[in-house]
Amino acid sequence: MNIDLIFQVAGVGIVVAVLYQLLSRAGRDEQALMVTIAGLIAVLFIITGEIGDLFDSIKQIFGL
Amino acid sequence: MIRIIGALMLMSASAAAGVYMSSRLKKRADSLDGFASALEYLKTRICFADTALEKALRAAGDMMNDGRIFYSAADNMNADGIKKAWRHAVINSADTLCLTAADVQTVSALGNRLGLTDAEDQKRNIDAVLAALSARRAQAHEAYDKNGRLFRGCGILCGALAALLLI
Repeated sequence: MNIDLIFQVAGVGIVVAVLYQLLSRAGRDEQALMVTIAGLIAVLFIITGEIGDLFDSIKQIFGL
Repeated sequence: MIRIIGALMLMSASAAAGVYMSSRLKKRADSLDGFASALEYLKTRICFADTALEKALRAAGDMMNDGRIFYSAADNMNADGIKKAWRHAVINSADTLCLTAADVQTVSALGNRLGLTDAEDQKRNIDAVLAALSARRAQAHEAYDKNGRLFRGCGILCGALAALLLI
């Protein structure tokens, strides 16, 4: 697995966390929640390929 | 290398957009503050110095950093009448001074009775506009305090997020 992927996900996590704090302190809780969900979806898109590989590995290991 | 340059360009563009939005909020608050002090000066010139309206408007315009509303009204008041000239001046300057529709309505109200009645009534008219303007000024300062930092922060962070996702 590419190590850059971990750093990319960590970076997105940090930025989304700071954005959440910034928005919620400005009284924009709804937008803060939307940003969090958007960040989650973005990270899920990034790691989709890796999740697919994980399932393939599990299938191979257990002979499914 | 080209990726890093692209990411930096994306971040700086996004940060610039955030700073621009924040600066518009600041400019609105500054414009309303300057307008209030110019109105105080206009009141003084009309009530205590007995200055003609056109000259008083130009003098009040000198009190603002960007006194285009007063200059424009003074330029056009003889041709269009003060009410129409004032309204056009406010509407034409609204975007440059970052005024909202509610600010424009408040400031435009001054033109309804400006120059039509005696000095005492002019004073009452200006005082009424100043009272309405103080609420707008408070709202503008609150908006800047609340959203100014938010826009700057969001600008930089959205750029960073986009760069992280694309890199």
